[in-house]
Amino acid sequence: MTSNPTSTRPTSPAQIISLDDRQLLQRHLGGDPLAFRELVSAYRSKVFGYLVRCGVRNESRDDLFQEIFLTIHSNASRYDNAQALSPWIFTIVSNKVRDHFRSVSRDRAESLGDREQRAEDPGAHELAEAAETADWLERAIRKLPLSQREVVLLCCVHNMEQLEAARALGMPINTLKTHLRRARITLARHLVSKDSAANREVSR
Amino acid sequence: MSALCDNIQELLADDPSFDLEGYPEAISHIESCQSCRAFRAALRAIEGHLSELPQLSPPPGTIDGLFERLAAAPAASAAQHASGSSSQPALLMKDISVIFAQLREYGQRDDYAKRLVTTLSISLVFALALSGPSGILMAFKVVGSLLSIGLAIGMCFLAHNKRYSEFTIYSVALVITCYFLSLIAGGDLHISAMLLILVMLFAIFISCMGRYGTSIIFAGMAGFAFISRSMMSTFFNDVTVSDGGSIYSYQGMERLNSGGLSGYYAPSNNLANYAQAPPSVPAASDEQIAKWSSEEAQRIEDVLARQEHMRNQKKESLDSAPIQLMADASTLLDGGADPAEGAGKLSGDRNSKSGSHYLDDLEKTLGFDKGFADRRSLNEFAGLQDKKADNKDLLALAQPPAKPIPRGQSFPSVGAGMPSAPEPASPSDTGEELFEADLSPENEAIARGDEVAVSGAKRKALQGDELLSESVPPKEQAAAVSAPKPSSSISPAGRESDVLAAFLRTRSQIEGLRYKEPQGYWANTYLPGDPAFIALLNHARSAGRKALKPYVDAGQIIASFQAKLGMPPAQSPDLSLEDLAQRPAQPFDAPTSSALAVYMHSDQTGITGKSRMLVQVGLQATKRAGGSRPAMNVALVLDMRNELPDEEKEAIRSLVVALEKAREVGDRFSLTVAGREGGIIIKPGEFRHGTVEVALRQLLGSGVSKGGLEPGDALRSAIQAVKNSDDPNSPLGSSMVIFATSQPLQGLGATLGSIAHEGAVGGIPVSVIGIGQRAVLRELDSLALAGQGNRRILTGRDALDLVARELSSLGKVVARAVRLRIRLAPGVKLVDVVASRRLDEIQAQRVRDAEKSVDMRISRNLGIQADRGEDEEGIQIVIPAFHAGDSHVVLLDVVAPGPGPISEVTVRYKDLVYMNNGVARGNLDLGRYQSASGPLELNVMKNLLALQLSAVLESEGRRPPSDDERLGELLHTYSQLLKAIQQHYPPLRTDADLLRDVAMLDGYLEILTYFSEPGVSAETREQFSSSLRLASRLKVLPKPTLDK
Repeated sequence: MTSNPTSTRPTSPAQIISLDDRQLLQRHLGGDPLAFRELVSAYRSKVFGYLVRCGVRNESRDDLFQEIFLTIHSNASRYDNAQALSPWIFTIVSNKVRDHFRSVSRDRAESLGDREQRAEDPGAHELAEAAETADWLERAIRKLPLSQREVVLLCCVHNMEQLEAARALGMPINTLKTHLRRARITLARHLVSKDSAANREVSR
Repeated sequence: MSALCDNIQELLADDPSFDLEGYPEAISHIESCQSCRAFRAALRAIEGHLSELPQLSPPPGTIDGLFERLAAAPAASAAQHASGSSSQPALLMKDISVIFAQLREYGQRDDYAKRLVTTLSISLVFALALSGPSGILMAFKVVGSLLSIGLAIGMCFLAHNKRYSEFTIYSVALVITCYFLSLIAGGDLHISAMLLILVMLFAIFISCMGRYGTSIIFAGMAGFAFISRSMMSTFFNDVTVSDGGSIYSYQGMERLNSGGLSGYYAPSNNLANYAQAPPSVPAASDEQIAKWSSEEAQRIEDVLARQEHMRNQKKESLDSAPIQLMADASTLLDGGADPAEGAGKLSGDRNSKSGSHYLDDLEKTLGFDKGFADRRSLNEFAGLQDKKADNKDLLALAQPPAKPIPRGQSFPSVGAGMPSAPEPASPSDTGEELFEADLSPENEAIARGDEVAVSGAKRKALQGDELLSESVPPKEQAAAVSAPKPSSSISPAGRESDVLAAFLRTRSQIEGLRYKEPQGYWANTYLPGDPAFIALLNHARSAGRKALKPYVDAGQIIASFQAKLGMPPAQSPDLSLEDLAQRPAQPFDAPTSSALAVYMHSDQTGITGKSRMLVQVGLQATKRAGGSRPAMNVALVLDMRNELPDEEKEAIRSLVVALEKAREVGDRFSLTVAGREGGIIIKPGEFRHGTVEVALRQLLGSGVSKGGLEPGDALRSAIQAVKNSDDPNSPLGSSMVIFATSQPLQGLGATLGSIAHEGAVGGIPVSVIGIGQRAVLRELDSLALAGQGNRRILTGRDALDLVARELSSLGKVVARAVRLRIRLAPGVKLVDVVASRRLDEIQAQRVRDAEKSVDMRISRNLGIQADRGEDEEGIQIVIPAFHAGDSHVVLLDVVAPGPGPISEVTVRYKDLVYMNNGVARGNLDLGRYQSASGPLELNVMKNLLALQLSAVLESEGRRPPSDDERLGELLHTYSQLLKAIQQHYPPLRTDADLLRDVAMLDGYLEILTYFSEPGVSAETREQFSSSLRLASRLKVLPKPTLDK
């Protein structure tokens, strides 16, 4: 059994979040039945990708995904329209993910995460077809500590401003920068060592 | 690597551009240091790759599930939040979450702050637990809670400084404070408070020792808080607590909790849950819940007053409330025709009083006429306790009917008049294997939209004429047959009473029944994705809704119904009457640690002697989907016989590309073309981007080559190709053929249907995708039905979603090979299994074989140990697959000899969520204590009514359209029955399911009034019959998800 989030490239116009997204919640509160659907449509890939890359297990992912949007739905009135919507949503997302990991013991999460990862490993043929670095990167992100993982996902994958990301994650900006720096160093050093190992293999 | 390199690399990682402008020394170092250069290059590469990682979309089922859950939530919640109003005290809702958030932020500073925060949080939880929903004593509670918080903070300081002796003193002070606080606040709540205090002390110790995280403490607190509340309900069974002006019946609470409903307070919370249980039922408004709560509270107060009155009279052995007495008496009356004999028996049971004296007491206590009890049956009597004010109307019911119940008003007893279970077919959504033959001529005819002749046995069970039950005594049957039709002079209220009396009499009748052996295999009635149902739905949606529009405004009826429930009106212009038919709400909690849970209920709260009752076995699946789809073996067949318009070419391209994008590791897709350059143009294993692009370029180019492959041959070769590459170890349903066409089949339908049917029988279902506007839906439905697959329509650019939905349908299944084994206790006799039938030996053998096959295959595929193959004692029902979030009930009509164990059920299944052999057990044990029917008992009755209504609609929908008067009488009778039941049981007066059914029946009756006039077309009559049949299925089966 493999994990199968449907993979799509971020070029679909429907998935590009416009600046007017903050109006969606206002419309939703105003009783527009389509507004929340549009909101889900706009953020579903971002949120689901965040869950996947944070290492939420397949069997819990759907539930967590739904709970996040239910929370957004029920807390829509708390959103301050003067602020950007994305940090507010990712505040909820990150809190839910943290709560989830708290509820799962660390050992279990890691062992199962490894097992899941093995299950997702494609065969040799597929590996050759796949973008090798991207696959490696996905796995490397999951090995980062959660705090660094969160920062990398928001700042580097979702291209959120550092200040907004800090607000979303509920941490001071300097703490966020520290996490980001450590994450970059870890990833870069892993990549360097991986490349050098590959070069050694070739030279033999 | 030097320390300098470390510093430089940290600088690089901090610099968004990785150039380190302004640090010339660092730049020069990087130029000279290979390690740092490589590091910088790696940083740039990672940054680039990170921003280009693909977006990941959730499976379609996840989004669907989200909106289902949203639909179940009160629609007004958002508006309520917007207005800032809340029915709960602010302390309990909004502010507390803010306080917790601030505490959590503060707690991240250092260990000491963390411990302090922990203590404060625990105290807040404690205060919340004591607060409760009542407002009158809130001030006392808050003051006491603040005091306890102060003590808890002091304890935290003391524990931190290891001053344990003072800590102990503080602990004692806190316990005493909380104890008195609980006494002030809510009387019997002290047990709950004491438990909470103990847990709190324990948690503080743990926190100060720093061994465990805050989350464990909170989890423990929440668990103990809940357990303590539940324990209260056990300790104080049947104790009613007055808390701040509200009355909570803990007896009722315990019963509801055991039935799976959550919520602390019986009247309000459980009713709210009950009203909001299924996603398909609109949530009740706050006003309605408040109304129900007040009615329920009033009812409880009435019962309490009567209890007090009885106790004051100091009757011997009257400690169990008058309801018990009524039940005893009425049972005796039911058991023997002679009141004196019954009284004698009663006297034997209770030596202190004679039976007749008891009856006198009963009548006197309840204010009824002398001799009244002699004329009552159990159900009528039990209902009367709540309706003293209406006893004039009901007294009329007590008398034997002045004339036999008219034929149109007779009701089927359970088991008779029910539709025989349709031949269990595999859920086509999942490509499930056949458990029984499926493509009957009847189904084919349904797909054609034709009126069909029903097979003999089935027809017999479906005929409205057979509604007079086999369990009704022959004498009464004869009377019913010879009865005249009801005269219009009968007042509606009186007639409703007659109908209700007939219904209740049938339900309580135990004489003259024929019993069935509670053994063997019985037909499965859980049929999600039933192909015939899907075909009927597609037919109704595509063809039929316009024909009835001139006669009845379904939208208006639905809007009126919604207005009654305070819901916003539906906006869809394309509504039909059958849209009102929905399965009854099932108040089952979804399991969280297994795929399935079983619940057992009865329509009786207790029995004192031989009684007829319904035993309901409820199955509820977890809401969590079974997981990702397995690797699939799919052949796509494109119908390219003629030159296609550009938009259809574009749609075909998007479909093929979508299939290529949906490909995952292990998938084996192939492409077969009928028409130009026909044949398998992309073999399994070669379905890649490049190959697909080249093939599409050739296919969608201009020109049509002659002599291409016929569609039938193309379909056959595709099926054969899938069969050849089918892995016997792959999961069920993972091999399929998709036939896509944008053209009318023009006479090819029969050939294609035959081939598709062969494929389905061989384990390869055939789904059909219609492209564009030219495709004929009826032809596609027929083909999909024959192929046991789905019919989908591709319009616009939704190909990705369509393909994902088709491929991921396997993920909906959470349990396979679900085997119910129901055993009746000794002495309990089976009248019937409602809406099911016992399978003959051939059918049973097929079920056994199919079950064993599934068992072995799942064992090979998923490693779940095989454990099937032997018959068991009792009633056995095998359900091939159960879907996430779904529920199903099996109703047994039984006669029990008296209080005690009634039945037990064991459900064994292949748990596809947790990957093991799951087992769920339940049993039903009724005591002597009887009370008014609660939500669970009424739910059982509603399920029976739904099955009966479905049977009537099904039989009448198949009847030739010649006897409108009889049909009208039948529908009218059922409408009256539902109304009478609503009046008889106050909690059902605003029940959405019953209101919906009444509105639907009245709508059908309105249409019928036009049918006596000339000019009604055959199409209209056909649509009317089709609507009845569709409503029948919608009433009892899960509605399949259809594409646009």
